[in-house]
Amino acid sequence: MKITYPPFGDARIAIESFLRDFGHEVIPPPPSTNRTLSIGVKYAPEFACLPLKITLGNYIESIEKGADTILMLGGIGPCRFGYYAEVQRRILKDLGYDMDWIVLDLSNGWMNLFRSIKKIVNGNSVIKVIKALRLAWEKVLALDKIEKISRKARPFERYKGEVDNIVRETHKKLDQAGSISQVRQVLSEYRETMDSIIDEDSLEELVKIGIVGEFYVVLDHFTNFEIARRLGELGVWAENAFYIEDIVRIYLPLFRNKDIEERTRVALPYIKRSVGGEGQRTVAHTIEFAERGFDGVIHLSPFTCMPEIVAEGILERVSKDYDIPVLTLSIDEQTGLAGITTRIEAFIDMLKTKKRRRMAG
Amino acid sequence: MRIGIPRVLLFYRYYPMWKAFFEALGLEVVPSSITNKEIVDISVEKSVSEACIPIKLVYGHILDLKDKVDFIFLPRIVGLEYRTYMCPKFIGIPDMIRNASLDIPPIIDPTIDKRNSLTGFFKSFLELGRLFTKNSLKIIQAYTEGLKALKSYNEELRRGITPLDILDGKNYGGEDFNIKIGIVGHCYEIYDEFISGGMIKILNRLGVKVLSMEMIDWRAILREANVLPKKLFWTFGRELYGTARYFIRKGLVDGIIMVVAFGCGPDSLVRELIERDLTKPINFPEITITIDEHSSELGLITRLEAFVDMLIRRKQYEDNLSSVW
Repeated sequence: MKITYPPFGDARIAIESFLRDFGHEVIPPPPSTNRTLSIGVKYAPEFACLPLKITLGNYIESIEKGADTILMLGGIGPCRFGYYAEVQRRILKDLGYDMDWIVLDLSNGWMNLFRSIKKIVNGNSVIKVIKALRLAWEKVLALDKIEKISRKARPFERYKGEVDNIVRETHKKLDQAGSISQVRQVLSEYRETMDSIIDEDSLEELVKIGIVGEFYVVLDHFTNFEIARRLGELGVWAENAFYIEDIVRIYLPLFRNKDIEERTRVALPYIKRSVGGEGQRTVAHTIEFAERGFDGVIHLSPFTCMPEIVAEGILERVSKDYDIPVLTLSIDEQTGLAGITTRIEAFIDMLKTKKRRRMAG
Repeated sequence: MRIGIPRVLLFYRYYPMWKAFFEALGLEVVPSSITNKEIVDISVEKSVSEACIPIKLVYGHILDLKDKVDFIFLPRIVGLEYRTYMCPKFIGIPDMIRNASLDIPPIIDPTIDKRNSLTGFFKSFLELGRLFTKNSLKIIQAYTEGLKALKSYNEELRRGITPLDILDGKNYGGEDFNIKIGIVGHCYEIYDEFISGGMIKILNRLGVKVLSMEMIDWRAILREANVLPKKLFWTFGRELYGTARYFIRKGLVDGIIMVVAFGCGPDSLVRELIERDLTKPINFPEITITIDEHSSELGLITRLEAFVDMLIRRKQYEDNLSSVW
């Protein structure tokens, strides 16, 4: 069994780590490129949302490398994500790829879920499973910290690409780390290096932007045109509303905690009920950023994403009520880098002027 | 007191029920105008640009009702069946309208959720009725009236009459033509003649009898849809898939027209399933018509004529074998 998975952002390192620990032969999907996208676009339904197209491209590129099994999530919800696996399975089958799918999906009954989990566990002992999961979880937490700190450090880097180089090196080390203490070691080394770059005293003067929206687009660097790096290079401290940890907590019931629901509560005056996906959370996170004194919010969504359209309709009012500028970027295969850069730069110029005026009193 | 019901979304499915219910409670029911150019223009201006045209039209129809009524009825429809959902936009539309700075009368947005309850609509309507009267008995009576109206409306539809004949006084679909086409699409797209470009009218003129979902027994449709290994979790998705499968399996139609709104989320996937599972493997004639606020009637006529010509030729000269063979 040569297993592959849909990657999103840095989470690939953690996913690969635990699949490897279970003794699977893992075929990591090659990093997403424009080729990935065009393969996906070619075979996916025209109006499907972008994540479906990109992950389809990822599968095909992994299949070219020899993968024969795909690990995927499923579910029931108004958002299209729950049906991705079914549609992608048909497309790959019609293309002549007869793949073995492991879909973690409760809606097909406990037995099916149990069977899927059994396939992943691969006959390992309970102790080993728990150990592998704990290590993967530790890596998730480390990845999030690496990302958070890099956002803070990038505006202060001494030459272009300095932070990126360090992050890349750290990711490599993290991938190799075989125990929790090694992960912590890697993280503390990374912290030290970064501390020497970050100028704590001028942090407050930076323009601060919160990034909200649909989780795949927010977390996948290829899909969102590496927006965090671009913002950092423009001297902006961009913070995400959520990182991989939060997404795991939201979508895997095993890890769920109360904070997630607690955080969405502020959105209730605007949107009374969850509309699936990140719709309600997007509104909540925008309010949260406004209350934390951020200068602006960038709202990312895949084109035609249903929950995010609902959120977009409501954000206009939130933006007025909380006096926080919001820029919505909806992304699909037609989106060009130049268009995104222009809009981001204009947005930041506006925020900088606003901030300067406010600081001058 | 007057209550306004916008002619959007599930209007053509439930209006008789809503009307009977509110009238039994002593309210005057005012539906919004039939979609016209003005409504479309203001909708496009006020709404989120990325939304699909049916959702955009809610804005225009609500503004159309603005000065005519004391309340506007815009239910939040979460799900109509066990373990299914509506599209997220149906769940969020009252919130979108309320936060859109439109300066409109208060919106009444009861949550209609039939997913887990045996009581069906009753709970939602009981809550809804409480807004107008304290007398529970009266609400139950009104609800029964509503159900009765819905039942007779559905019976009429099953006889092959379109909702437009009943609600808008049109005369479609009564005659029997040689060519039969099944339209697979949402009621709010097909029966809003402005956005569907008067598709039924055009097809009638071309000598085609139009069949639609409303004319089949609902349970039969759902049975058809349940063959999917993973059941679709959108009520409408199930209905569309089931309808298409029913039409094809029972040999009721010569071809299928799929009507899809530009940017419709669930349909983007459901369409793919219908094509890959049902029509492509047996070369069944199918055309997809995408509609949005820019669709023109002329473009539509050309495409429908070509499709119908193809069906006629197929029927007359080729029997059931397509020229591919």
